Amino acid sequence: MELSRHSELIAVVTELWELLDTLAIVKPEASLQRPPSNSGIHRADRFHANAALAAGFSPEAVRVISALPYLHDSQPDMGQRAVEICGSTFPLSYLDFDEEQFGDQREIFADPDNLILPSAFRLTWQNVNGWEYIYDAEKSIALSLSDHSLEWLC
Amino acid sequence: MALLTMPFEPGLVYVWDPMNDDVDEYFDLHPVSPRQAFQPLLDKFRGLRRLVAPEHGQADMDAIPQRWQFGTEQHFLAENRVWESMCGLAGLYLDCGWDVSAVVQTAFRSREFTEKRSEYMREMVEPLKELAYKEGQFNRQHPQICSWSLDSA
Repeated sequence: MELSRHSELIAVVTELWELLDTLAIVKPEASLQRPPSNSGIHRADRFHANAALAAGFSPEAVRVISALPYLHDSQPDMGQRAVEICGSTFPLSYLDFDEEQFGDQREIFADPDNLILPSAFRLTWQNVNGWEYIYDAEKSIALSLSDHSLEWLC
Repeated sequence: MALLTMPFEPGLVYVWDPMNDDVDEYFDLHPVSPRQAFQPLLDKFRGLRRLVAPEHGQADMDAIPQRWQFGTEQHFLAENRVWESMCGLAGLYLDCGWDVSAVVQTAFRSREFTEKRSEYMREMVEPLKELAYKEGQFNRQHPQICSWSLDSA
């Protein structure tokens, strides 16, 4: 699939992270890091696509992850990162991750036997009582012409 | 009649509260578009309904502190004053040109705001947090007289 088909996600996440940055509420150790405008994806030395693929993310999910902006926190403090966007919920950056770290982010409740679908990935990180925002890059809805109802695909 | 479909743009977001939602798997929820998922957060922050000060905490205007089952009334009132003072950050934003209805802030004076916020946190919020901490210490040191039931209020 073309990356442009995920333009709504990229636009909305960019809008939110830029808003938090403009509000001056991002931790000093964190900063907004957009992919270079010429390529539209993060450089290979910051985003390790092969490690993400090896951890089980689908190629489509990796393509989207590589193109998102991040509020990247170089010094997470007691698990808290960048800014608390709602109760115990923080932005999640995939920059500088190795395969093990990518793998950890596929686990639900830190259970290696309970994984997020390969086509899906977290947009946020939550500290026990927080919220999960999970994007599925291959999930879509379609309008059924037979009865005009919404059908879930994939 | 055969089912004909017109695919929409792919990619949907699951917004899941794992501790409180009545589903064990995120994919049992109805996913929504990215805009639907994140617009409430955009509205809340842009509208100054959630105030955050890095390294000082945060306050949600729509989540008024509730009286706890345990602890003194003094402690509750002290914590409430901290919440109110954090909510006061909204006034600082407005004083510095923040527009709650603008997607792009063209008149916001960020440097002036951060300077005023530092002063406000130092002179208004931190002293109240210290008082609340002391009231909390009293609670911890006197659990026998701070056990308080909502039923008896």
